[in-house]
Amino acid sequence: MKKFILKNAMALVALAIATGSYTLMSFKPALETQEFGREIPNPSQPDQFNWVPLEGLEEGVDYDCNASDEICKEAFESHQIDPLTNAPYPNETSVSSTPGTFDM
Amino acid sequence: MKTKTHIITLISIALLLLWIPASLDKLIYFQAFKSGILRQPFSDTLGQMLIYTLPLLEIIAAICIVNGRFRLVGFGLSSLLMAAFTGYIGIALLGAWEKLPCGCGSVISGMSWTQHLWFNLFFLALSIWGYFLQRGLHRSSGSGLGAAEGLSAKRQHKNNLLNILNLKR
Repeated sequence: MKKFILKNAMALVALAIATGSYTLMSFKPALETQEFGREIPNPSQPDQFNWVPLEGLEEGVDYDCNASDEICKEAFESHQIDPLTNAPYPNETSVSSTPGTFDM
Repeated sequence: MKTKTHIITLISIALLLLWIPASLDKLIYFQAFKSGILRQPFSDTLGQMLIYTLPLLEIIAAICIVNGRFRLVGFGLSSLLMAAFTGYIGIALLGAWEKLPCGCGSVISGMSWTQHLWFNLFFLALSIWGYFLQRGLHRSSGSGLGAAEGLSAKRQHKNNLLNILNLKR
């Protein structure tokens, strides 16, 4: 018996490691993959978003768009161009870039 | 000689502690490992290849380390695998990719990329050290009569005596 243990010591160590790690793994949840190098905000935790809300902008309230506002310009431009083809929408009436209101 | 053997045994155990849980983790949580590999910034073809070859190579490395006759191969394979992983992390740390998902298991999952690099460098050094120690051991035992042929100590001793007798004649 002693001879067998000495002869197969490394194999027994390997078996012990395998058994131990398998037991430990059965206690922990499935492998968690991590994203390194960049913090990805979790939508379930809104505090993680670093928002700088526009003044007077509230959910469900119409926002008065001024032509001088950068955000309004971007919103109007993105409404007029198909992001897939980069061409204006053919069957839609083009949205004028004049000041107006839109629902946020 | 005895110290060398002890060091080799310790290195072997350390590498077994690395490869066995790593390969088991990949096999048990295969789907998570698969998705982790496929999210890496290399082609899907290479990803598909790595999904099956990585756990297999890790198991082969562990088996070779356990078997004294193939321990040198085991250390060599460990060195190659660790060199590849370390190189990959090194490139990631140099900023080659904007983001890099880590499909790491067990203890490693809680590490940052820098910690991961040091961890890998340690095991890479250990594997290379083990490889050269084992090679030295092979060479020194190979110079003895019959050791390379795998003869028993009793037969080697008998051969030594016969050689001495032949020399005397």
